[in-house]
Amino acid sequence: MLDASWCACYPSPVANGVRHESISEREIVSGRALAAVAYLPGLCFIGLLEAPNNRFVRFHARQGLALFLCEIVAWLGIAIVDDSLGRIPVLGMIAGASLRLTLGLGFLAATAYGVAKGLSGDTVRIPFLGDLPDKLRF
Amino acid sequence: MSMIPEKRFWLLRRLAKVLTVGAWVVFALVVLVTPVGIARGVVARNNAEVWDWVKYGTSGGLIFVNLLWIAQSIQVILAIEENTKQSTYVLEKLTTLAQQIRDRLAENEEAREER
Repeated sequence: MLDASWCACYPSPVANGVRHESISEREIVSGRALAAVAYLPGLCFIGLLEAPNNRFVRFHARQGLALFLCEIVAWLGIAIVDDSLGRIPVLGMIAGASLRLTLGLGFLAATAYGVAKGLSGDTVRIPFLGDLPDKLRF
Repeated sequence: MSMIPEKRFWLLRRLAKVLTVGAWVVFALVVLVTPVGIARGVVARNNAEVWDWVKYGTSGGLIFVNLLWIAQSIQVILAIEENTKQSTYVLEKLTTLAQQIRDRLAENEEAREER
């Protein structure tokens, strides 16, 4: 009998530390939604609460946490720029606004990318994060 | 697959509801309080106070948008997950049915050849 297999997940180009073979198909299928939610700001721990032993969810939760930390650092940076360069009458305001827009769009794009990859069952790294997710051990 | 409503992701469902309610509470507060504050500043001819209330209102608006965005994102993700599950179930059933038809056709063919 033909088997319409569970995998709506696609083979992923894994250029990272986590080997795709080490994550079972069952883990991917049961953890897709939680993996996607992990990229929403501050919600990276929800997946760990609901499925603590799922390696697929853990992989995405780690990336979600790294992204969230980057966002916090970026907003702190923007606050510093606002309080220093932002005091320059026109130029400061333009610089602050453009920096905020660029970073905001960048993080939005990274979040959308992560959510899409989580939902499609891929284990792909988010660009520009480097090996920061691997340094987060949980 | 059972058709009983899912108990999975209860935390996410509840979180989405809480965030939505929170967002609308923030929105109501902003809508009710900010105009009063601005009007008070205008009546007192205190530009600094007006400016402060405009900033509070903007911050409240941003918090509202953020909360609503997160809540809606959770709901969209859950809906996609549910859809994927349902379509996988339908695909499984269709594949099984197609295979059964194929088996039956083969059996009929064999029976006809024997005859």
